[in-house]
Amino acid sequence: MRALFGAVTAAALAVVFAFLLLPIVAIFLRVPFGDLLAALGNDVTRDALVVSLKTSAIAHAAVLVFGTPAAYFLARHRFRGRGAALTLVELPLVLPPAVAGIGLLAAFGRLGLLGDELNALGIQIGFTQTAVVLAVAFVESPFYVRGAVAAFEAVDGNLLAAARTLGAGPWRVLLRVALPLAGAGLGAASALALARGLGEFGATIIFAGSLQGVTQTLPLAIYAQFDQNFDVALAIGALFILVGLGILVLLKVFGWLRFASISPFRPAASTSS
Amino acid sequence: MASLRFDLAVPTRSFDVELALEVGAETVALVGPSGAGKTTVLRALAGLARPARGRIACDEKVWFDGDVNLRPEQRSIGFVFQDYALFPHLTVERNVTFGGRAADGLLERLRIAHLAQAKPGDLSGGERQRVALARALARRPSVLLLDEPMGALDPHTRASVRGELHDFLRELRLPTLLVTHDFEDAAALADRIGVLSNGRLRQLGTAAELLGAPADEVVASFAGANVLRGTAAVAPSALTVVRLDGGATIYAADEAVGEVDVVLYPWDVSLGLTAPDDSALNHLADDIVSVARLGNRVRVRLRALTAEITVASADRLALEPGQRVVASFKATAIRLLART
Repeated sequence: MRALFGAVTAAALAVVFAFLLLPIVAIFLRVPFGDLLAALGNDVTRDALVVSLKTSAIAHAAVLVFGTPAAYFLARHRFRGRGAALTLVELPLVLPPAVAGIGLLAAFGRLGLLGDELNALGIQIGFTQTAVVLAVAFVESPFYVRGAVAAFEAVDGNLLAAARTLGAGPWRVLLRVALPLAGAGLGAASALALARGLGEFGATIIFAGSLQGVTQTLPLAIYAQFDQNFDVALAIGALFILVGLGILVLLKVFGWLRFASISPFRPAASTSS
Repeated sequence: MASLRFDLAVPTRSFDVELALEVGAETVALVGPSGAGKTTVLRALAGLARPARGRIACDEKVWFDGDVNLRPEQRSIGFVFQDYALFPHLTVERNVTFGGRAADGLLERLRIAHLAQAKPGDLSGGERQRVALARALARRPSVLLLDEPMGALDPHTRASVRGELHDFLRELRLPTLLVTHDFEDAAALADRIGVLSNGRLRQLGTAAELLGAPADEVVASFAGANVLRGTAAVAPSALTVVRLDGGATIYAADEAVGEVDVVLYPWDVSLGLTAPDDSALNHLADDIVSVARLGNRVRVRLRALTAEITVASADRLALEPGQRVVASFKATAIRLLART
């Protein structure tokens, strides 16, 4: 029976790995490395790369600037409705991105909830780069805020109290104690959110459309290219896989940093295991 | 002369802690079992917990009353946290100067100058305690609050660190309030000791006063005494006879009638293999539960009470668990507290 159990679990593992790796291997087998660089030199790809980097950078900066203080507040205060607030923050996680796109359109679109006000101010959001930024920020924010709340909650409350008894006001406590100690966790959450933002597709295509050079991000370019120039679509896919691997490595590094910053014993630099 | 005065009611999960105290240039220890509300008092004084009502004043400055509630950073306090709460990401020097003032010889005074560039994770318990003290004192506070300052130390270093801390606090001459669950630490460090239980101050006095005349059974058992329950009645020749709940009868010089707590310190109990013929009136035969050596003394726990004798006596009698011995103590060694 033991031998059978071992064989079954090993077979399951093999199936899982084969299934997860096959598409990735397929992309790299179809695109030789030299062609990959050439395909990335293509106009569509270059435009999409610029749009993706620009919108992701702006959206991510906004998520960090607003999400960090919000997460600090949620982690440090006990108030009525805190549980509801934490659940609400996670709502975009369980929503299909298409629903997020429709929702954003209904709120910020020309005929949406704030449409008249925005029109009066001469601001149009739907199908512009601003729309891409909003869509990306909407879907990636729960990844960051959730991780940031956990990172701030992990900071020993007595350290913050100690800083206050040493004369530090709330800003100094946040900047000198809470942020450095939560840093590794915040970094991990930030990397995860960035990855989600870069890959955002459904909300963007509904709320911002897919205009080359304006709102067409890398994932949208894959969709636009896969029936016209499959090699370009594959090349962008390969690029994503490399970025994804980079982010996974980054997460491991942050995980290690977090361990190192909490552990009372510094791991010896020379030991490797 | 600097002083801290407060009269507070601070809510905890299960009860309100009510405490009024004036601390001059001295060290006052609040002792009591864990959960007695000791740490709550310190946190309220520091502004980290909000009292339900009351008043806190340091010299002429009001920190808290009906209208005033200064934030922690506005109160002139040095707070040494339980487990010290040193910033793990900062060096010793940066921990100490976190408050914005130079360390000005504090590192030298506390013998941690050579550790200035070390991180807290690399320090021993005693060193961490000294860093925490230096950090708390760097802002030149008017009041020093210490939460279980000996709590994070291992038993080996405890005695020597206690001696150093005592000398240091004595030199400082700052109103100091410390919290501990250990009566010995309190007796070694503090000028006065307040025993806190269930949020109430049971007694406030010097260690000698608490040992000599404990106000009730909580204070007595906290000070390390045996507390036996019994019923007292008047006996001939001006003595009191107490029938213990365990069945034995003993005689006490104190006067009392009715339900009593019998308070008897372990060092007033002598042990023998047979009942001796001496001036002690009380002899109780009992079984040894455990024999533990504490420095040059041996603590022998019997079923009903605990005795403390010298190592030489314990060796001579070859005491071991399970053995039956006779515990003897004088009628004058007993304090009787009427049970209310």
